[in-house]
Amino acid sequence: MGEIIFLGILFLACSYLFSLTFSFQTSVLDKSGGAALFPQIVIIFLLIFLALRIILILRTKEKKPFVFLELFQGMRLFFFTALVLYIIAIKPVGYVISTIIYLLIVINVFYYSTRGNWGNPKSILIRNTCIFAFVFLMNTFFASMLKVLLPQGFLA
Amino acid sequence: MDLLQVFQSVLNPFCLFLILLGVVAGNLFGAIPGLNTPIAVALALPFTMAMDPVPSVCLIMGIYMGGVSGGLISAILLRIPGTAASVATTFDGYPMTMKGKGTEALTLGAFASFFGGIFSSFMLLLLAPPLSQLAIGFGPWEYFGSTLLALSMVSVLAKGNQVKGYISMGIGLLAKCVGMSPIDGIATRFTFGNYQLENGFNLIAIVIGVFAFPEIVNNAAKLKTVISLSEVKKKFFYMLPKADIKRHMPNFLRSSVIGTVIGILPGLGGGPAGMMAYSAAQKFSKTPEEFGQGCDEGVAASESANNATTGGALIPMLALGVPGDTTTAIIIGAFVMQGIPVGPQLSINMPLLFRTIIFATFVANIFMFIYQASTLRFMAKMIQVPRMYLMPIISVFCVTGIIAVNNNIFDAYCAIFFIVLGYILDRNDYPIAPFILGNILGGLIEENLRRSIVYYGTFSSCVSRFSVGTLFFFMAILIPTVSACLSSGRIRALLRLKPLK
Repeated sequence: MGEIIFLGILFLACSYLFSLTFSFQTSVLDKSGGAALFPQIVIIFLLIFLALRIILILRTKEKKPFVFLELFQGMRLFFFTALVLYIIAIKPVGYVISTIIYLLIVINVFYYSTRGNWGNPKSILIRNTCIFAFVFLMNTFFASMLKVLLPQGFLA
Repeated sequence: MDLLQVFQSVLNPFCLFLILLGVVAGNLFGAIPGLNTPIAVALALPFTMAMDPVPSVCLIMGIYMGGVSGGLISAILLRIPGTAASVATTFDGYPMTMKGKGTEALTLGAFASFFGGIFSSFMLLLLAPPLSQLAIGFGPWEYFGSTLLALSMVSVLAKGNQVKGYISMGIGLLAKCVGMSPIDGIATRFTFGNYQLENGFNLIAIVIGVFAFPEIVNNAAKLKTVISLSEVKKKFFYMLPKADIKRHMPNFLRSSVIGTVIGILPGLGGGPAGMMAYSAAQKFSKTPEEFGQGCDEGVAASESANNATTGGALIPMLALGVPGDTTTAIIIGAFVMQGIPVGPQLSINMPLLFRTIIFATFVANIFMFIYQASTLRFMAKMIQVPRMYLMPIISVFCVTGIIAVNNNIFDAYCAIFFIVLGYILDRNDYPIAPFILGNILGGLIEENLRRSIVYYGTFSSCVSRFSVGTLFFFMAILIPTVSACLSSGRIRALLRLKPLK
């Protein structure tokens, strides 16, 4: 059932995108079919196989569970949410600060989840110091060695 | 003189360092379950953009050679294949470890990998130039046909359900349609008014989002999995005895041929190569009943074959511009970013660079063997780095790499979408390789199709031409059709073929 819903969403999305292809601009000099040709071919191809897959599922009555909701459960949800918030926060907060916060939270929560405790004060200190050192090294490597401009956020 | 220039361009400290670095990084990614060579190459792409073509080629070849071979460590010691290419290695490698022969299995695997890699590099040297000459007659219609055939074969031969493979491919092709249209550059397709999508989705964001992140996120639920390590004897350099080399030579040669041939065919890669070589070794063995219970011939066959696919996959990549597997598809992306024209023009217009790439693969294979043989016992211990540290750090590398490509945070936002998509596809047995290849080849397919129509007038004029392109076009349609028919139970019964399992 879950897979049918997923395929149905894809089907509807493809249908909508197909309707958009008719509004693509085309040059009068263009004899190659226009900008809409290839997307239309791809969408029709996709629609056919989506429909075929839906029919196959209904005919064979596949009972294999569709894996999706597990992404939003337990530690996967925590890690995924942390990752998304980290990516969103990089620009306004800055690369260094957001990465430090992200690693501090995620690694320490993972540690607690694995060991059942936060560890002794020495291991906490070492672990978190290593995080700061790692982020500093990453920033130095990308910014100084590779000349990549990483977002500085409100520190800019 | 040319040969001297090739040696000069690769055999300098910086390039040798990069090859070694690539081998080490690739080996590490191959050894760690959940990571693989395409991810390692994708992560290296932002770094290569800051380098000249030759050093970036050295780094990428090092990662490629090291990554394919790295899977043998966890496959032999932990029964967890580090890469799909090492699945067959687990069949006999782990039983050997359980019998106390873990060191011997690792030593044999390392040498077999080296042999397979060197063999296929020789084949690359011999076959790529004649293929390049043949391909010089390729026009847009021939390119369209060959890329369509490559895509078609990937989807047919990808693991799992074929319909799922085509859906995956279709999604990849559709993702490539986002942005400005090729040829005319007028229409901005599916951008929904967002100017940042006018150049389409960033390939790195797609590859890392679809490949790396879903596995990283999935591993968050397996933090408590304890990996126990078997005993590895302490030595400085683990070399296979001469008697064993002689005994395994027929197996090495046969498996390397199988691996090279399969590597040339787009879409297959090291996994099927290892399996087929393993089956062949069992058929030719004097003791086939020992396979699966710790027979060293199984390890030798699997590792020779999966490393031999590297040179094989590079042959169509360099000669025709068609990727032999997912990793070479990403490597094409890296070469394109460097302004290296992959395809027949490479060997004709830039013969020095062409030979440099091949020489870099030789050197990478040698470095890979030296590195593995001297660090077997240390590599085994690195796998034990707890996932609670490993996964967050790798995720930071991934995000940083995505942003670094275009200095654009929007690429990282797009990656979030591809993480979810990649997770759904991967966890529900939709093959990812057709998706990636569809995204990479989609632009080439559309551009060459429209060029062909412009040049010949109509599509029917293109199809009615007597050319390789037309042959490839019909093969691209026939092969999946025949494959689908043969998969059908009714047709198999009609042809009196054995039913599929």
